[in-house]
Amino acid sequence: MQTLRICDIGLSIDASLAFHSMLKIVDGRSLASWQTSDAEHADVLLVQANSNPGALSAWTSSGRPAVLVIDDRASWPPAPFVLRYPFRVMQLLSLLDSVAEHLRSRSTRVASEGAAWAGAVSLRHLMAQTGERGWHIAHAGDRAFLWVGDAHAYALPATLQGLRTGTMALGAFSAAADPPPAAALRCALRDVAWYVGAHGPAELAPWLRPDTSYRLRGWPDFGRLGTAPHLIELAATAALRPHLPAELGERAGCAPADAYRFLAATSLAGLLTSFTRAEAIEHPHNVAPARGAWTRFVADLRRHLLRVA
Amino acid sequence: MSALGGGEFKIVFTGPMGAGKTSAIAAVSEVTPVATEVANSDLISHTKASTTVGLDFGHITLADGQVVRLYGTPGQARFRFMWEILGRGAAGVIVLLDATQPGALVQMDLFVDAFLPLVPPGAIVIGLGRTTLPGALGSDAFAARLDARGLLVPVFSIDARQPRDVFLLVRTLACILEAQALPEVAA
Amino acid sequence: MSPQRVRRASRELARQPLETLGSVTGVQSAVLFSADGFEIAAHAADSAAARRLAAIGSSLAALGSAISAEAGLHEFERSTIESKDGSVTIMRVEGEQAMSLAVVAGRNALLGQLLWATRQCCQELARLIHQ
Repeated sequence: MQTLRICDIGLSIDASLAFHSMLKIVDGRSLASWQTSDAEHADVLLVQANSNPGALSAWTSSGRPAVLVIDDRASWPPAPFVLRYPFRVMQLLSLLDSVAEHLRSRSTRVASEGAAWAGAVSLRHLMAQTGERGWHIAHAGDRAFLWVGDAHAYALPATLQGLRTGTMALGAFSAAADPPPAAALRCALRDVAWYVGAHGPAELAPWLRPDTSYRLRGWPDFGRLGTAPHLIELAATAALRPHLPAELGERAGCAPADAYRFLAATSLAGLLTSFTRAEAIEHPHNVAPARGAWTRFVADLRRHLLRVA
Repeated sequence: MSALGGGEFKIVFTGPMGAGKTSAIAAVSEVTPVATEVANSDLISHTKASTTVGLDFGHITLADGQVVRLYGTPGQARFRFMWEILGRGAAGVIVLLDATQPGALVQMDLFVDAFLPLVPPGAIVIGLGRTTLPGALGSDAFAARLDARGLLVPVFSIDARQPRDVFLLVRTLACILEAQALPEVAA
Repeated sequence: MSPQRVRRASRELARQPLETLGSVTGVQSAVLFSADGFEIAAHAADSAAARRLAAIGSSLAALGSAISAEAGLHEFERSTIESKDGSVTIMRVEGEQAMSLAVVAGRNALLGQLLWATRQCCQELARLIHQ
């Protein structure tokens, strides 16, 4: 069972006493096991509304939940967790369970996104180790596997298809005792890396930085890899000059998530170079002067091609 | 480079004989293209029955009536004069290559060198055909060779007879041109 | 017979008709070439010039065929490029092996005479080569 620590501040002496004795009453009946603690070690803060705004804002900026305690006659504040004094056992129990549920689902979200990047991060480490001998294996989806060795990736056809379409997520790698089965197909490691990045989470990959500029140093072979909406526009934009991650999506006319996935895919496939801000400003690039009618014409052509192709 | 002067917007398909230029234009042109194919009398150099000696011509019409003209050049070096005639004023060039031909990398250099000076900077895309056949070089080899020359050019594995693949090449060229034409914002 | 052998044989056969054409007032040079731009025989043209005329001539002949077809006309027969100081005429040689003749002439050539002589030459070439 989850153990959570709660600290109360700013309550009247009666309210504080009532709270502590009620915690003992609900012990064993809540989703979590609750203990009192000081503020520094607490997971949850119980605070009298309007009593200590500085402490409250410092607390909430740390990302931890707070429960506001209000008097019977006060109006309900716009906060997710509110408790009215005098406390009633069932109200307290229900509120504590909501907070416990909130904390548990949040940590699961973080863990699952961490798991989604785990495969990409692990693959990236593996690809960087050029002298690495032997086989490594990772989960792909629930029941499939990907092997890496001999500078290539190996998997059953259905697994490769799953990675290609993003229906299978890649897990972290570990050393494998055995080589892949004979039925496994050999595939270019950089191609697998591309697909893993292209279907990654909708955020900037952990090895990329929001304050660093990135430029394409080689076009992906879209004929072989396949395209998705916006990939070509992103590549054309990224090839011109270095861009910050947030800038790239905007210039290419697509959502930030598309730009982030593009950056993850190209960096995993070894097609991206990075620049500091100063280097990026100095970087030479070919840009034709803007011509309104010409730009519209080319945009019309692009739209036409998207419709017919 | 002529922008919209006279409404001209032309894309040139070039590359060595047998790479699929005539097929590519036929795959995407809205009307049957004009072709200037004649019997190939040099079967030792190439087993193809016919070859282009003038040009291929096709077009795509956009919604508002503007026309994108597609020109295919002959591939052999003796028709080099046609490369300059057709390449002059082009918005961009698509170089088609056959990945199974020995000397395909040298061919790529030849056509890239011939057309780079004729088109706007970066307005070049390479379509690599027959990459799945035995003995074919992969697109990486061609990209690496261009990279060694300091050129960042898309190299895509394609089938020049497939409309979807040819549209991919034309669409990439259009994206390159559009990205370049956008006004710069202050850094 | 292989195309190369045809070309070699044709070069020999073409010598006389080309020389005859070359004696017409104003004719500067003449090149017989295959439809795909290889020169077969030449009169009064060095090999480099003959090669280039063959290539460009074949493009013009092919474009001539294309525009005839576009215009709904019967087969391409002849095209004359005129300039202030002379002309180039491309004329098709009938027969199985697709060939054409390019004749470069100066201003002093009489157009009617030139065209008649060129046509005679083509007919003779067709007779000799394709018999």
